[in-house]
Amino acid sequence: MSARFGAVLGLTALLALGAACDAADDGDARADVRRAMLTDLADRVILPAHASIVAEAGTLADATQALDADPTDETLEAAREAWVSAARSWQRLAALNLPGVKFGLYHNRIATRPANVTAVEEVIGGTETISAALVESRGSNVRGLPALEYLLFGDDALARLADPRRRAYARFVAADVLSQAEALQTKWSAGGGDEIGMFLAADTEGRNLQSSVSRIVNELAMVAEDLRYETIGRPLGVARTPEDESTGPQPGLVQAPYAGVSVALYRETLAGVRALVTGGGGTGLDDYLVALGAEIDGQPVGAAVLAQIDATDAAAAALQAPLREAVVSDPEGVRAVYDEAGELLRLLKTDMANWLGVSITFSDNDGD
Amino acid sequence: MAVAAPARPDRQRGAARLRAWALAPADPLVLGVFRVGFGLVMAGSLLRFLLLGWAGPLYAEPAVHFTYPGFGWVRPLPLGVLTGLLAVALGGALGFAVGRGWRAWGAVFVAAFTYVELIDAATYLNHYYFVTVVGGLTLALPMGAALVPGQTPRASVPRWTVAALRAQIGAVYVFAGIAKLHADWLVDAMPLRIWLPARGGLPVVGPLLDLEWMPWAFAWAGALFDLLAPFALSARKWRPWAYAAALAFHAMTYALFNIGVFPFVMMVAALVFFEADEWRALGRRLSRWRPSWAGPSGTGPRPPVQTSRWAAAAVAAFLAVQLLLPLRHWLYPGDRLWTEEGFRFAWHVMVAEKTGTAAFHVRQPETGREWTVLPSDDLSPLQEKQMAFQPDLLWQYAQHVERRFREAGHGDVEVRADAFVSVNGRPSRRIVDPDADLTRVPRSFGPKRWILPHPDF
Repeated sequence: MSARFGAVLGLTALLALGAACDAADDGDARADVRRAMLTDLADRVILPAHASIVAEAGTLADATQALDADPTDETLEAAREAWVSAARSWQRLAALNLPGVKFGLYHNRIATRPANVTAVEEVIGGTETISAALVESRGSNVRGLPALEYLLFGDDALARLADPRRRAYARFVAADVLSQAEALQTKWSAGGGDEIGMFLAADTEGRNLQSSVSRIVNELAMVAEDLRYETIGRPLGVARTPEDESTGPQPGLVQAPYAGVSVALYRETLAGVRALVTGGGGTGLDDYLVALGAEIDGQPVGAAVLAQIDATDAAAAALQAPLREAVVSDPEGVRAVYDEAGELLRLLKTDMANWLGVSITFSDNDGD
Repeated sequence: MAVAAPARPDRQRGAARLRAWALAPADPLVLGVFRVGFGLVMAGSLLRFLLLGWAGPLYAEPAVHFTYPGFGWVRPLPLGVLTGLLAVALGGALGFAVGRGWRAWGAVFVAAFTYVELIDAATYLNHYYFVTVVGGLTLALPMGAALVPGQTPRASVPRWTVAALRAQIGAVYVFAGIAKLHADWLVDAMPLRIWLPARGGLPVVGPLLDLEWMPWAFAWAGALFDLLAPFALSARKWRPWAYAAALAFHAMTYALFNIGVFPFVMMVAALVFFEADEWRALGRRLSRWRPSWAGPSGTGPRPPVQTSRWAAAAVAAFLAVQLLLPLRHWLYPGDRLWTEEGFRFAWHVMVAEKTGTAAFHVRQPETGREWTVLPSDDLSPLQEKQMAFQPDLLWQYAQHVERRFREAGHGDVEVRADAFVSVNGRPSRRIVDPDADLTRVPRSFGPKRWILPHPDF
């Protein structure tokens, strides 16, 4: 038996190899598209987003330094503008905290919301020398962009910034944001932690949770959930835990309660999602979904997702007042954003994820 | 007037013939080999589970657990205890393989393994269930009649004992095959059409998997394999080829899909179809290092194993349940891929790619106050994603939400699910009646009227 058996096995292997070469010659469209997608996501989305936050955080650090040196309406205004640019840049990147990346620490230090303003005031009102080391020693909700927002946009900001300790704290927090952003960029860069290399290489391991497609899709689902519930549903007073005794809208829970740019930040997050779906205008998830033949009622799934991003963005753009006011004055308008974001969540987490067949768990799936 | 009808002679003859067949002597080596193989592969599987550190995130850490009907009393355990229990199961599997006191070791293994498995229904895997079913069945069979160190093998075991084990393992293949006789699988090659391209990045085979027609080839070959494997494995002439095919099939599923040790468990389980003389022939070839206890010693075999009528009846009843349970989904309206009614414990393996999105709306009837609750607040990502497409788990979570609100002092609230599911590439559809207050629906095995029909099934 064994000789004949060996011959059959050998023949089968040869045939398989032949077919594999054959298939490779045909140009395996879907794998090519997926590789192109990962490359574009790396080159057009992930790396530029990190370069952008480093640049914007640098401008912000400079502006707070100028404010510290000479607190005037002009320097405060410049610092505020720099803060808004940095915050917008951050929102486009926030969708890139891909699961599997152990950089959540940096994300937390840059953007933990809400800022603990009591703790911020305690530091400023205290006697410890304000320094990089002091900021470094504090929790995430005492530093980062939200704490800085409070210092720059809070009530009577300019008058209170007459206190040199307050200005120094703002300056060191901004410097810390910059150094966290730089650390994050280094982790991603090919010359540093080379997360980008791993992102590109994980194409070969499509069957596990660490595959890049799985990471993107799981992340998109989480971001979409935040777009609906955290940033809109909670301020609107719709999404609440049973332990939460509050009733009605919760304007304090908006993303940027002091700067009043929550809608702009929301739209930046949508732009970040859009960039992931389109591969930054190159080859993206939308192209890969077309290659897979993924359709919803005759429409490509990617196109449906992009249309829904537009619809959500249009509903947000239609809000006439800052979100903290709109949740009270225009609940129907905010509700429209919430509903559109719900459709987006469903499309990303259910329809799109279904076609991408991503692994949802670190453990075993069901067997054959 | 009434005259007792005489027993019909042909029926009597049939029963006698069946009895003679079932009690005919069979070589115990088949059971012995299975015991060793199954015990070892399970010990390896548990060791892997412990080393990967899954006990915590799967069973100990989640704050909420989904239960199986009738097993609500199974409580999660602290990580230390859970790890100990898994270690006990591992020891039981090893003891079962070795053979001295195999039944006690086996019972410990099955009980400990099954307890852990029952902690959370969101972690349901057919492979875990297979272990419980087959492990449980072996406890009623004379697994220690051969291949026990220091014990001469028994002369024979009743044939039904070997047949029962083969029937159970064969049934798994056949039912997995029957589950694939579905338009999604055969006509649309779903979900393989989703899964294979996702593996297109693999070296060498990747490009093959990306071929347009490959999902259909896999689908039909897979269905045929599952349906025919036990029969081909039962025929001496076909057995080597069928087993080689089984090895290739399971090895391929291991390479392509993230299904852990299941392929290896099945590779070992399928060995049950080999006859004792084939094992002896193999043993002779390997005789140089054959341990002294592997064959009959000079004293001759011990007397045949006699099984009790009760054991036979219990096993027959067990097998009857195992043959009916996988078919119960026919009793429910709608497609099982959508409703999941009759889906578990039925070897519906790999037949659906499902995703879902769910939120829960809570209403306090007296005040009209409303809340929207997110499951991701207190479920693990695995639980949340499994729950989102399984109606009975959505129902369970609604009960949990009701409890949470009662504990927070909101009294008796209504809970409705806002849930959408996509199956095998179909557009997502609403699965739970958005008007149904799930706290008013009792748990039952009856059809769930609050599951909305799917327009495409």
